[in-house]
Amino acid sequence: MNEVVIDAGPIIHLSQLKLFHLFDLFPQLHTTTEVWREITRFNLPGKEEAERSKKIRIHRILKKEKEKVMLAIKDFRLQSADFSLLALCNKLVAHAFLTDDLELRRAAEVLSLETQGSLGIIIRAYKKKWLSFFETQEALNNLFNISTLYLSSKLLNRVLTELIKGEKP
Amino acid sequence: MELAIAKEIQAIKKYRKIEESDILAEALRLGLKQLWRQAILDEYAEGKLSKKKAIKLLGPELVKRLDEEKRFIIKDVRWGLSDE
Repeated sequence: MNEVVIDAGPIIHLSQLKLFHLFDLFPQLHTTTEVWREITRFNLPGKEEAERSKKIRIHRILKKEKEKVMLAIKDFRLQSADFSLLALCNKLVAHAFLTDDLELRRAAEVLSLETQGSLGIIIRAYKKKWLSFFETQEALNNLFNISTLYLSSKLLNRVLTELIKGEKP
Repeated sequence: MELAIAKEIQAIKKYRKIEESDILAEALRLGLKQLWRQAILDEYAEGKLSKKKAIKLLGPELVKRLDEEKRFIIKDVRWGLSDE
């Protein structure tokens, strides 16, 4: 199974960067009603794109499914919607979990789930030649400078070094 | 921009009942603290400052967060560039 579960963060961030189309890298995306409500209830970036997209399948998670996850990772400071996503990952035996939430990524690791962030999606698009090196650099610059994802924009230098290394045979 | 700042100052004056000069002094103090914190984080992110020194200046929480961000960034880059 190649199921991919998605949190609100990548939807918001890639929409802010006008890169929502990069979700076409994945055949289908799954999220929960709680996360869907977060995205669509308020006028958050990505609301319109997500509503238009036929790619996102929304799942209702039962309280008992969430509670099972809560028990396994009770030491993490997570919201109800976060637990619903982890429960969905378990339910679908997800291959990937797309989120930009640091605490959620750490919790997912405890559950042996693989997580990727918006940054990973941008670089995957570059690898697949959907974005040129220049477009990738611009997207990463914007991700580091427009969003409040990272404490220091200097971390970008590390990414660019890795990208240039990856370019070399 | 200037108008927005003036409006904010007026609002703070109204709600906190303090003088404009006190508001500006506090804004400068808070702004400088934020800039100082950012400068330290940037130095640490670039590897120009030791972890020990960064923890001493910023406390363990922020340094731990930045380390975690770095770890996930590397993970994302490797996944993005992989043939998976």
